[in-house]
Amino acid sequence: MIKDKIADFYRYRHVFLDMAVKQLKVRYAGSVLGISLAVFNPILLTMGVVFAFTAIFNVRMRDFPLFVLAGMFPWMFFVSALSEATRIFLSQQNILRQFRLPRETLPASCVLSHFLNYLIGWLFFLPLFLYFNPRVLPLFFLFVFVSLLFLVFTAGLGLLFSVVHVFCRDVGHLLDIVFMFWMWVTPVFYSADMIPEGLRWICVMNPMAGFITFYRDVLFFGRVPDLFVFVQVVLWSLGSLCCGAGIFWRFEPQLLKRI
Amino acid sequence: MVVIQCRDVWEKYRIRFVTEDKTVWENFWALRALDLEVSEGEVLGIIGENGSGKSTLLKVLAGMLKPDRGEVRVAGRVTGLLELGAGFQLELTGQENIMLNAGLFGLDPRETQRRYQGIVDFAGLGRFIHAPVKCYSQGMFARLAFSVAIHIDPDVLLIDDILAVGDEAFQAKCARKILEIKERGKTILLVTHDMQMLRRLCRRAILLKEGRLIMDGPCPKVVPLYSRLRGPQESVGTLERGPLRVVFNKGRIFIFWKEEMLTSGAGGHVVFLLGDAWVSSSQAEWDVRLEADDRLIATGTSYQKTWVQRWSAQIMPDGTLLWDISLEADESLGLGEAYVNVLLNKAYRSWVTPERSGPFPDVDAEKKDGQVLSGEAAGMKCLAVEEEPAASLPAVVFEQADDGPLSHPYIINAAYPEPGRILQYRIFPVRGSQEGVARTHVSFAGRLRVGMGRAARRTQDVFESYNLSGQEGALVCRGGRMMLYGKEALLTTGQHVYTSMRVDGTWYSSGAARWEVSKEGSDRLVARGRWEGLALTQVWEFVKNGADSFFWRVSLDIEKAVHLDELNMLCLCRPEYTHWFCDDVRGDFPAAFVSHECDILQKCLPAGTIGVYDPVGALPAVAVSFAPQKGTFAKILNSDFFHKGRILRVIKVPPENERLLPPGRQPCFDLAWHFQEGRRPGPYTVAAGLETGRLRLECAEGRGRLFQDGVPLSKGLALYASLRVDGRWHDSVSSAFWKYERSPQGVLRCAGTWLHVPVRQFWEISAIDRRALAFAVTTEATAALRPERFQTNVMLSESYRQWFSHEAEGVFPEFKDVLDDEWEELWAARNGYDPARAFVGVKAASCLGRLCPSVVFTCAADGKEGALAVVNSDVYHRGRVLRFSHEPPSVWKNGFRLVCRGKIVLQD
Repeated sequence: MIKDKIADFYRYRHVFLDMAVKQLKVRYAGSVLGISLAVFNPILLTMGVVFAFTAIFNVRMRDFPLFVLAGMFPWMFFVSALSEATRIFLSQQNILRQFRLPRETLPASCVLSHFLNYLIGWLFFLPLFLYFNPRVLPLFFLFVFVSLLFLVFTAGLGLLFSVVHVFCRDVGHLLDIVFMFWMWVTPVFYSADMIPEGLRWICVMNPMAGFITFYRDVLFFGRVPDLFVFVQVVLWSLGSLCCGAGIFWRFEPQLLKRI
Repeated sequence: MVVIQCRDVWEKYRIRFVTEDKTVWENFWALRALDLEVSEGEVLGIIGENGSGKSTLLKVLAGMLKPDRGEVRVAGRVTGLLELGAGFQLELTGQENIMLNAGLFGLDPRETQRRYQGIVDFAGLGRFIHAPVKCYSQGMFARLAFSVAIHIDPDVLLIDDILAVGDEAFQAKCARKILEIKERGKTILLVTHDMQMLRRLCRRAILLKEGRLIMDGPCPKVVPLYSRLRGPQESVGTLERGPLRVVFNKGRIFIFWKEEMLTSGAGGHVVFLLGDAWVSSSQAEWDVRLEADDRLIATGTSYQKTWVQRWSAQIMPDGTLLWDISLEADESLGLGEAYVNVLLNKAYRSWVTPERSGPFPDVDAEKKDGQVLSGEAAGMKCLAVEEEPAASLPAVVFEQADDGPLSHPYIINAAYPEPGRILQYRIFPVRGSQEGVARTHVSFAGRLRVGMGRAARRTQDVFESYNLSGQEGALVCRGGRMMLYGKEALLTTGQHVYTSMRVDGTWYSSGAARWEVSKEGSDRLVARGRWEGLALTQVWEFVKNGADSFFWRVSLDIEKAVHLDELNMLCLCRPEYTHWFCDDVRGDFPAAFVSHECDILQKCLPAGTIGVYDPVGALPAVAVSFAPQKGTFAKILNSDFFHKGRILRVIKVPPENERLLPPGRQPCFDLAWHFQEGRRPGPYTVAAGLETGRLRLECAEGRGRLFQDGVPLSKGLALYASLRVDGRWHDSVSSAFWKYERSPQGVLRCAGTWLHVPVRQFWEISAIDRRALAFAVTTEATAALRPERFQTNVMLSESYRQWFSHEAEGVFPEFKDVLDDEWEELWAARNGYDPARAFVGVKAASCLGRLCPSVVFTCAADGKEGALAVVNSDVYHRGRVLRFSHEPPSVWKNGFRLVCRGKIVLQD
């Protein structure tokens, strides 16, 4: 059965890709700055954070803006992709009503379009990191590895929340609040090492801590992350995908009736 | 090959019902036990009200929904056009959207490229194909969307009511494209509310209602049913028996025969005049109850609750639909005439009534009003359209039940708003009261017979069974009325010929009774009528008498002794009859009808003939003769303005002591009807005349008419004598037979035998000079009797406006509207006057523009005085009467003689 689903999805791969690209296009359609917004947005946020931490909290750290950016940018992708994917069935319900395409195409392509956006951002940022830390270059394959896992992780959650959201509209609102809280317990502005020993378990429980630590190790510190982080990232990604797809397919037949 | 197969498909939605205090989740079955098979290459229309499950069915077939129960199999690729333009990204151009949309439909990019040009051409957007879709008009948007969808080239195409968008040209284009797809052997399922479109595209259709498939058949059969089923549930009901199906929907009745719809447009409905507005039965809230499988009661209340209509419909075992209508409104609303219409399919090409038939001309769409084809069947109560075997339409015969009120049937060709053939009955309301509130009602009992077989034969049967025809004319007896027909035309009008009687103080009209008519042989027709709450049967026996005459005997079969106070026979002839006649007198009817029944034109002998004729000779003269019976007499009247007819009336007032009728058969009237084609009554014979100077007296049938230069001065009864015995008046005109004797020059003599009293009378009239006549009336008793009063009178023209006497004079007032033998006495000289000197007279009349002479009357009995009086007659006789009244000895022995002598003198 899962094979059928996957085959069906594969048949619609063109739509999946096409939709992702077109969504990206639509996102920046009519704006003058266009795709460069994908870069400005994280830079601006990073500058704000850096201002708050260096000027106000007086944090002294070498290349602190890059440190923040390495965590901030993946986080931003995650939040935007997930929150849009969660609401995708409601916002695109006319597609749902009209076409018989595999339903997972919608959240998946949504996440993919955000991912493309994310990658475009990296096109600008990667040279920056390389400039400050040339050791990043040989670790580039690790960057690709973690990015793909990150995509899988986000897509899994996207599937999960998109279908749950149709049945329980609170999910969308709750998610916005959870994201706020989540950002602060995730080592975005700080490194996992700074967390007191007694609270480290938070990082273990928090999938985003793993991904962001991974990104930062690779891009900022130019080092191979711990094995623990590897394991964490892989498990979370697969878990998320399985869980998301499982729940999605379980409830998908009811979808149309509940919109 | 079967492409789509649904077996027992159920589809459920869970719906949250939120009320004030609680929230309930309930299952809603959008599809129930649906079985459907669609073959390859078929175009199937799916119709039904909103929420009937059409879209759900398409979604199930498209594979978007899984059935909760049952099985769906669809062979090949399915494309649904369920929501037009879904998946269009407004910011993207048409071209980009085509690629995206085609992909969503499951087309891979190479295929899309291949079809791209076709899509663009079909959409016909020109340069706009490269503009963002948000700039498109609604029509362009729809065109593009449809164009993409239609070019997917699926094996099965599902279309959900999306063709409504776009202009007509585009719709036609879509329809062509769909047909093209169909021709390629693809299967199409089309949901639409556009019945025109459906008829064009589909041969087969299914009708869904509340998730169930309720009809599956050829389009022309399913569509009409659907359009009639629409409407709130409580106002719809269906009756079925055999091939006949009757659907009642909100004040309309639709008739189906073997799934073929016979009615068109509004079907069977009632239209009536309320105040000055026309109201249709569909303008009400209807509540329908099925009393039994074959019986339905519908009650319609106007939105303002001012009128109520009750319909009862029942299909009898023989397939006849009984359709009873009663309509009731507050009297203040002014309920006027009502029309019961059955609007039939325009495929019917000929109409039939019992007496005529004809073709329906082609409907003239320009003409908004209907075209009346037959309006002459008044009272026939049977209208029909002939069967059309080619169109497999059965004959429809629409009859009014015998016991219904009089109606005017019409056959109309209707062009507007929908062409069709109308069978129509026009009925007038009756007034009554209910719980003290004055109400007006209309009631109608219809019988609709539908079936193959010639309608003409049925209507002929109907006609034959109530008809007795001779060479010159025919009579048709139905529902307590008799209609007279000449060779060409109906001779009677309005209520036609009917009887009314006063039994135990209440009037009963034959039209209100329930009648059974039976034909006994070719020349005998018997009708029996019974009234509710009356223990008697009125029996009419008609017997043919030669080529142009019928006998009509009216009798009563009495079960329990009753008092019969009066019995009337009334015949309302058509207004084209301008002249009347009776035995010896002729005259013409007043030209104009007035608001009340006109004065009596003639009061006749107890045995005689009255009739009407048309001097042009277009209509045969109609005459009715009646046999001598006690208290029977006749009147000729002009009807009032509303009925517009000439009335022949025969009245029987039995003597007081004969009014109590014992059980058994009691004959009442013996009437003979004559039709005299093209013949007028001969000039009446004056039994005897007396002429002196310019004055002439014509004496006939117990009255003496006065003329000067041929101009009548008298009218009605003229010079006559009357006698009161036992409280009842007898007069020389209606109560005696007369014989005229050969008499010497200048003297006129006649002798009369009175019918009801043992009296003989001799009149001797002689000229005194050129302007004066003397008369002597000798009354002789042939047996002992006790008379109360004796009178000699002369009734003069109503154009005399003043009276005078030896002592006084005055002006005549208006006639009093009383039906009384005691007329208004204006002045009287009682005992104590000098008979030689006393006189009464009338003056001041103009006849034909000239002043008429005054008439002076004087009289005495046996040289003794009585009372000389000036009297105004009642409104029915409308005459000025000069009267001598005398109280004779109270006991007359056999041979007793009373002589009255008097003079009539003309003065200038």
